[in-house]
Amino acid sequence: MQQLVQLIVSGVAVGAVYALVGLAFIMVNEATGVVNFATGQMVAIGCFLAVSTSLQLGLPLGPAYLLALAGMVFFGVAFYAVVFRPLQDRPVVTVIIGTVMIGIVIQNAALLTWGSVPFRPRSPFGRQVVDVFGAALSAHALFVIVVAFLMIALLYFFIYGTAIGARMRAVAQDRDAARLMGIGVDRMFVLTWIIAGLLTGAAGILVGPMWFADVNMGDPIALKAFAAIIIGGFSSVPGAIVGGVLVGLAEMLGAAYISSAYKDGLVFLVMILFLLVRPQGIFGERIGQRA
Amino acid sequence: MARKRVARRRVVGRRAILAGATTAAITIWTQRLSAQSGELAVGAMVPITGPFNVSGQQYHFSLQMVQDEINAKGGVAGKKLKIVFEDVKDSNSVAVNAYLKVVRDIDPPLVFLSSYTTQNLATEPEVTKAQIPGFYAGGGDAMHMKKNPWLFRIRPADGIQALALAKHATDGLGKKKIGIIYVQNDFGQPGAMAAEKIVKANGAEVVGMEAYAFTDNDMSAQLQKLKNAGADCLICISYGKDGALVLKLMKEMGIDLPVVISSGVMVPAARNLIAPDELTRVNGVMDAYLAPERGPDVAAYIKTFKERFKVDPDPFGSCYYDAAWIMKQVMDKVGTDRTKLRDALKAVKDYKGITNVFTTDDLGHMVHSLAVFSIKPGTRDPVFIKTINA
Repeated sequence: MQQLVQLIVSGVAVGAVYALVGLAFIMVNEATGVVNFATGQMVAIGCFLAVSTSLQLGLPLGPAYLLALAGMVFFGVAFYAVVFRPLQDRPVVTVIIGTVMIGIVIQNAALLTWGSVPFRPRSPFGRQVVDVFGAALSAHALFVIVVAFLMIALLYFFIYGTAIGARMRAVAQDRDAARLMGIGVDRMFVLTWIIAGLLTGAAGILVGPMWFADVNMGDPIALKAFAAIIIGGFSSVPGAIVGGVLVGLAEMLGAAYISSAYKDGLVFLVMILFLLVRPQGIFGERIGQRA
Repeated sequence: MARKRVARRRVVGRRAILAGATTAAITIWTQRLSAQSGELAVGAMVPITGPFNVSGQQYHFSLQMVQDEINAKGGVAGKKLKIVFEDVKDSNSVAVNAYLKVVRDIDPPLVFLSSYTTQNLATEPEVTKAQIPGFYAGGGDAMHMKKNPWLFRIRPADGIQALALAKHATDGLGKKKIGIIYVQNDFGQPGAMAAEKIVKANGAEVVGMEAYAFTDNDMSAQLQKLKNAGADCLICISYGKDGALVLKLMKEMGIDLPVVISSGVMVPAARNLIAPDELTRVNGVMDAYLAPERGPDVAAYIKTFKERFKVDPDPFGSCYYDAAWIMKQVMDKVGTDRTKLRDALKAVKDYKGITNVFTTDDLGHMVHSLAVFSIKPGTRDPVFIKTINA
């Protein structure tokens, strides 16, 4: 029982991070039609901005995190201005390749800025452990779960409960019609990239104390998040949550009860099965069914 | 239409000839430049960027330092030493192309190869074709099985590491139920299998073997399984960051078992990631005991390195420092003829370097032992226990 609780909490914490990163994929893809392959590097940048503000500048964690998130807002705007805007009228493949290239540039710029040696970011809870049903659980892992799902709830409310969210959805459904209705499409694009920056930045800040910060940390997280949204549904917020948690749990439980050597294989096998049998994912809708 | 095609073909032909001639001229010019300026250029295949850059950076720094020191002492074979660095990232194909480029561009008498086995396995056929002696630091046993006479390993093979880990867990700590956790790649998997055999041969039991991927960040399921299997000691075969994560997770999960851990975790960059109380029951192996108390040469090396690069040196990079001095010694003696150089490297015996004593055997191994350490309580400082020989 203790083992199961421990594994489930670890799996949900990991899955919550995948869900945040998956949502960053979904936000950008829905608004712009582009899969941002630099998403993993954005996670790493978020983590390293927190390293700079908390460890290198020595700020208290609250202001350090806020400053790092402010940095990610700037990063999102810069990404839009430097990468997406100049390429937005080109074929989608060109923009996708652009995100791949910029991901490599970001990774190497991070290497030059922060160096190759990993850091161990601080957690607001230190190394505190909580006892739940006899299982020793990291307080930070529980914090990750709470913050990630809080952010997802806020995002859900923003998209489906506010006027700006409605405009963003309108742009996602039909860019030209939205423009004819007087919606500032470019402003919505900027907002989308800012939200993507905030989601990936938050993911980076949350995982740093759990997994350490190193400049190559982004790609494995993005890969799993990508699998999560394929399983959950590429256009669905609930899909990202369910997909993320499923992937996190599959990793943990698969390693514990099936085989640690094949746990990643299991995750990607499930992803391939979904692509073959239900390509729209659990909650997604077929392209033809979309508005 | 036909005329246009012919004309276009002629234009393309001229362009191709021009491009070819320019390339040839640049290549010849580059080589002559190197020769004319009285420099002796050797190549170095270094993972400067990408996931392998933690050890690559140390390799890079060590060779930069040794280049300056050798030149301050008159250079090599009467010429100024110039080390031409190529970034091999984490890709085998990049490593092969980098090797071909350096061979084409500078025609070196010797090349320092990558510190990663998979890259060296990919490059090895080109080394055979080029017939250029090469130093390499990757520990994978698959490399020396090739029996390539042009290649010389400058740090202990992974087989020796597995032997040391298993012997220390069983003979050294007297443990009887060993759990093995390892990174699933060409380093961890053969190491785990070799350690399993030695543990069994020493009369102990392997209660479980658990793998994780190089990119994994959470090994709690694997650790829980080994604990549940009744392990009284863990052998951890990992690199730096992942090994540090294993120790952090063990503390968080309340798994209070002694751990014998591989060399990647014992280097300063990895130890600094681990809190002292997470290192309480850790023993580990290291390629070399790099500490000032080993002697004035080692102390001076550590001091100079730290002053120049602002980080502590580690044995993975420092072995290239030793290799460069060995190169100088043999080139000063036999010159830069590759065959003579190879034969001289085969005959190296009892060369006392910063990291180890180097003696070449039939398979090209130059290092045959490594050191076992515990950690001083309440600190991250290693305490030397003993040396284990192959």
